[in-house]
Amino acid sequence: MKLATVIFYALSIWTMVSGLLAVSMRNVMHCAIALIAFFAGIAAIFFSLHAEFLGAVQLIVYVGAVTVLILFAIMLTRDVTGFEGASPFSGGAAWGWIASLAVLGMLAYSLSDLPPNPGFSTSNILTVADIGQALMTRYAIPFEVISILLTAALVGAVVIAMEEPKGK
Amino acid sequence: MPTLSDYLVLSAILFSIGLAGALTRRNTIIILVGLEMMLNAANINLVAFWHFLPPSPTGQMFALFAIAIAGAEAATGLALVIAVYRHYRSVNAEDISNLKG
Amino acid sequence: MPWIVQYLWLIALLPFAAALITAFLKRPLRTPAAAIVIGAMSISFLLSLCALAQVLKHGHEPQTCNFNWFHYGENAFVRLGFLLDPLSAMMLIVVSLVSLLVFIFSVGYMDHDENATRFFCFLSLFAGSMLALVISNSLLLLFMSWELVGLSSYLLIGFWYHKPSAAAAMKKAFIVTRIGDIGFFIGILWFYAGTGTTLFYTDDHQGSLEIARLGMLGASTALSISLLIFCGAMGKSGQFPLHVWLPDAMEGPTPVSALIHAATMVAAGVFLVGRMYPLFMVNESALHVVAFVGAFTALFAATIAVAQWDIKRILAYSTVSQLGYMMMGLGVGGYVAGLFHLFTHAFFKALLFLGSGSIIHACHHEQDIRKMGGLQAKMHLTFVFYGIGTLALTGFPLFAGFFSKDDLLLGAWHFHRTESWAFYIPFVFGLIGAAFTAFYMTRQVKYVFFGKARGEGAEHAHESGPSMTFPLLVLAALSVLTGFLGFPGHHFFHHFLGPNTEAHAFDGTALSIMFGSSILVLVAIYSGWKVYSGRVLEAGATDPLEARFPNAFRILQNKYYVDEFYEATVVAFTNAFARGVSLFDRYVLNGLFVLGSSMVVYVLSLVSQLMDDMAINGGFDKGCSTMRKAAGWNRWIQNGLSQHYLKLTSLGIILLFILALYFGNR
Repeated sequence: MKLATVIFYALSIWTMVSGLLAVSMRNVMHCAIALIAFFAGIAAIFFSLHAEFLGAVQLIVYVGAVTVLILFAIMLTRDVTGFEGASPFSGGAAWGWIASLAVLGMLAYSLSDLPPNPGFSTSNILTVADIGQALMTRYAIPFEVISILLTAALVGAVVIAMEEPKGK
Repeated sequence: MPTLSDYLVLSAILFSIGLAGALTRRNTIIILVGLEMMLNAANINLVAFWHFLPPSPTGQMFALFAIAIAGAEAATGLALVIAVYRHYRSVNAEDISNLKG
Repeated sequence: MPWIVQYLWLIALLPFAAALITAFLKRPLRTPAAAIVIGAMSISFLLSLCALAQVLKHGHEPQTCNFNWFHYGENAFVRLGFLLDPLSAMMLIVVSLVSLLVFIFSVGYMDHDENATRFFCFLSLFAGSMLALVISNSLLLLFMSWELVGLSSYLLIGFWYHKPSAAAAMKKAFIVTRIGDIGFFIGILWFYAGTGTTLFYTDDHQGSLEIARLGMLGASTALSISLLIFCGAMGKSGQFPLHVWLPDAMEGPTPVSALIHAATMVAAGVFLVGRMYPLFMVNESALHVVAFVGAFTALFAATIAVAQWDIKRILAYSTVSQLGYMMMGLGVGGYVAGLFHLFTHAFFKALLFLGSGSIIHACHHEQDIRKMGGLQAKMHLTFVFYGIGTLALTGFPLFAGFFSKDDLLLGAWHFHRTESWAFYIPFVFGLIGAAFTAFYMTRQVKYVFFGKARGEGAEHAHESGPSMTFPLLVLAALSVLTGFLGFPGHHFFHHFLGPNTEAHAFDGTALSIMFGSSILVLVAIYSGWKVYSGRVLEAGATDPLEARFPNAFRILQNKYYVDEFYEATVVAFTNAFARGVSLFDRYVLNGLFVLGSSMVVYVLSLVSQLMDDMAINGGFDKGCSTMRKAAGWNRWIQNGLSQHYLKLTSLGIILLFILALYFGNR
């Protein structure tokens, strides 16, 4: 077995296990920590696919920013909730599991008649310079639109989460 | 060597895990976590296609944009959670049923 | 390509930009707002003059500037463009000049309104969209500006939205025009399907109108498309039966009524018919429909105006009636006559509305003519200008309306040579309508300016400031002078607008029609003068017509009960339908369906309970809670929990997937 295969399977198991933990643990804080592991695993998968820039972005945005946001949200809302004990395996959740298993079955079915290995591992490399070039030329408009979207999301998030004036 | 379909299967599994999280948990924050996981699984698809079907950079660029959008989504989503929490004193999705018909 | 054609879009863009800037100005900054808007409009006006010069120099050939908007496939583009031809040059001048004057007037009129900044923003938005409508070289762009114009009209009618009547009027205007726009939109799609392009004219003569002119659409298709497009024109131009919104639109501030609901926007329907004239000409029946609808509207609205009390409502019905004249003119084949009347009408109707605005402003927002009176002594300038506007509208000899109305009547006379007696109708209706017009305008002038003051406002009235009288002066001059552009026998306007349509010769028939209609108008004015004099103008006196023909007067005062008719049919039907749907929802869906499904769900829940017991080995408590839950599951489909919706969504996706598999592999 080649090293790449070993790494792939290791990363697959890592992400699957951490992902399962992230959505199934009782303590929300533990979920968040499992989520960090999951995001890091995804970043590692990006690295193994030679998408180094994307892996770095994944680390910065998800492990760095999104998890911090989630931790903050948990800490801001946790104290009174008191229902952390609710298990994802309780009766009401059964349909959720059935639905997601059905979706998995659907995806598996559609992957089963994939044409025999359409491509094979290349040493395809996109340098940071290439990405910068592409962002400024072919993808300039999506790039600008995304920047507007991010600004809007930022402002919107602040407005939504802002403490309402006491006077109301 | 792992092939393209290996990555696709992995991404399908991770997507289903994320979906299961979004469907089964009652804590709104964990529902958002599930959504983020689904987005990440989709990104694996994009990057895998980029890696195995060169030379267009589109796959990576799209993944990049998806990450940016997911970041925006997480920020607004969590802000909404906090606003909802302030209103209902709860983040339990089952307490928030104003849509009830 | 001459620079003015290339930069034609600037004319429309400047007011848009001004609107955008004023939108961000704070409320107290009314003076800068007015300055920006008026400045942008003056530049647009100058550019329009350049465009006019270019047309005069270059001739009738349409000059276009087209570009690809976006592409939706291999070598398939949506193309938009701008067009400069005599028609659009004329409309540019009318719209930009009237807008400019109305903007200046608004400075004085809105000086007490705290939302004047917003007002200027909307006005500028309107002017921009109207100018864009005029210069668009594509039905798609025209439709976009058409809707923008509708939107700004909606915003401006409801400018005083705190008044319930204004809020109702704005909704009415929007919804009624929407009815016409449905037809218009279908017509656009059909036309696009038939010709394969949305451009009117192109450099290689492959534009949709050029194709249509060659008769490549087929007569019946052309007829259907023309009538669908005419639906849109009827809605916008207030033709019967879609005229009901226009009088109500007078709830807006008076400058708005002058600009939008008298001079420019309502003329958009007439302009549209003029623009699509090559298409309408393919099948004569389309033009006949236009002629009869127009003639009927002209007479119908003119009679209503006789029995109204609100100064602006009288003018509104007069507008509906004049728009009917324009449509009639286009329909009887007088392309130039209809558009010439549009041209002159824009100026004198704007004059009349601004004059009424000046009166209303002086009378502290009193609009009932019974409570005015004697203003002649207090408002000299307004009286003179209003008088000029009245004479122009009634078609008094040598005023603008005289020439254009005469042109229309002449066209209608020549219309009859085709087949049967029915083709006399437009001419007869037009003639009677002209008499009614002269009568009700005289009645209004007598009520407003003569006799003694009969109300609080009228007693303390005073002349308006220069920012209001100056536009009146300009418009009054134009109301006198523009008529001579169409001086019979000279035909300057004919040569300018349409080389392809021949002017009717100025012969004995023309002269006798001119003479006859003048006599008629003079008689009508005289009888109006006689009827409304003396004791009639004293406070509390009844209208002599009301005393004489109480029943007829009541019908006219209630506008032939058209509104009530709609209330009883269309609106009632819609409400009843909505109520029925609501009942169906409440009893059949929520009652029967939920009851029925609850049985199914109950059985399902038993199964689920068994599964729960086996899966988690839960005790008796768990079972009880599941039992209780079973009742809640009756409403499984609509329980308000977003997660359940998500579950259903994923199940739906799977279902779609299975369907796709099943049907896709065949």
